[in-house]
Amino acid sequence: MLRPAAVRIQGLSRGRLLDRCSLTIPVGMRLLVVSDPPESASALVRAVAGMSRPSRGRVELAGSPDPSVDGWARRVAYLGPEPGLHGWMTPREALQLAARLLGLPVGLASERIERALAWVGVGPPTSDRPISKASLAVLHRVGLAAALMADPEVLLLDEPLRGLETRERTKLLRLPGPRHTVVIASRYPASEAGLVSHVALLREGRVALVAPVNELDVAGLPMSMRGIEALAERAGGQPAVEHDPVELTERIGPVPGVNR
Amino acid sequence: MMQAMLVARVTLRELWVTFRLVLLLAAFIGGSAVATLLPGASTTLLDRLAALLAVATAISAALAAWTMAANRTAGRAGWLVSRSVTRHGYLAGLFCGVAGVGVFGAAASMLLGWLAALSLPVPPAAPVLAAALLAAVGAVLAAIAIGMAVGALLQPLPSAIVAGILVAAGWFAIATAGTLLAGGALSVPSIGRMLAAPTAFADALRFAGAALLTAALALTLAVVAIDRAEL
Repeated sequence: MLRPAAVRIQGLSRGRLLDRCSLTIPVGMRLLVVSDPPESASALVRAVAGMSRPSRGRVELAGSPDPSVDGWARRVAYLGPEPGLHGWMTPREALQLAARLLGLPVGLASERIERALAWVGVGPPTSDRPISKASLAVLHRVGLAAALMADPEVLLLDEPLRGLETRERTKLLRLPGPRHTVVIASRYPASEAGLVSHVALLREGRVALVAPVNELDVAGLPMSMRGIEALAERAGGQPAVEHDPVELTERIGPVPGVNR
Repeated sequence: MMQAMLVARVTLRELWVTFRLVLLLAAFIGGSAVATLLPGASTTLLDRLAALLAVATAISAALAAWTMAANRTAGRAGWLVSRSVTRHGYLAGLFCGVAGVGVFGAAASMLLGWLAALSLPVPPAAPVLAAALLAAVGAVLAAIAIGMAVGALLQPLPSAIVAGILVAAGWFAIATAGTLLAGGALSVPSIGRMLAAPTAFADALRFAGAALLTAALALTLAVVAIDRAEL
């Protein structure tokens, strides 16, 4: 089964956190990125999302290296630990702004806004009060709703929804359909167990392992930083992915639809 | 372009909600109202207006720097950039939003000054006052552009302080050295005398040009800074 790359990272460097990091993520993969030091995973996702500028290297997202290409923003979404919403806006206004920035037609925008608010469980009167007066959980829910407004193909998540309880968080991040490619940077692998199909380990800024989650089960290792590091040791600590997407896809096989 | 306009609208609303818009307008319009209503000699009135302009532009720079830095560090700039707004579009929108208010305030302030100047025994010629208004607008644009550049580099409070100090220092340098552009004619405390000088029109236009050039340079620096900034 051959699938195109949703994210292709080539030789990305940024300070001490990323050192010529290369990784190719096929369409449909749900990848958890953990790292030692822990900040590297966030740095990778932030650099891929365009939040920070790498000192060198190249990123292709959804088949395009250029975020200014029309429609790029509809295909890729990013959600960080801080949703970055204006506190004086209401959740509905924040989503209306997101819809306008995405250039959605008015009718479609209204429909998407209602659907997104329903999906994250933010209804009246909370949806019509300033976000600053809402709880942290509501702030994070609205952040996710804004990220999902365009039904993106690639979802980049950096320590997302930490303001929510684990069960609620897992429910919201379990996106339906095989089309979505999800990359999650996290310091708490156990809490992402039900969300991802593969794990990647960055060590000293480079990819040390990319493996299906079930390899941890097969090896009798827990879904934890130690477990993932132990799996990397057993794999010989060799950089897993310096390959083209076809080669990687052949190596990892089809991504199981764990979240469908 | 559309995205920059949306950012400008959001910026305007943010300034309104956070009372920064009121502060900015009060600095210009309230200050000039007080300057024109206070009794004093004819040249003192124009000098007071010039000093007010210096203070108000320093406040504008601090406020612009704070707005840029706060949006950047709180992830609000990143939120917009992850939704198809380019970094340059974001900067353009933010600049237009803050500069719109600043220019309105400066123009209103100078118009008040214009009206007050008409009551002087020997009022400056209308073209001179129009050129002075243009110079004030140029000064505000330069101050806000400096604020944007500093705000793209530093945290909110340090950026506001540094931007305010930079603009105040710029005015101080012009006021004390006085030789920057026109052999002393552009000294702030001598604005009143300057407006009565035969070269006043040319001096004011030259100042406006220098201010716009400063704005362009500061915006170029801001573009470079925002390009490399962590959002």
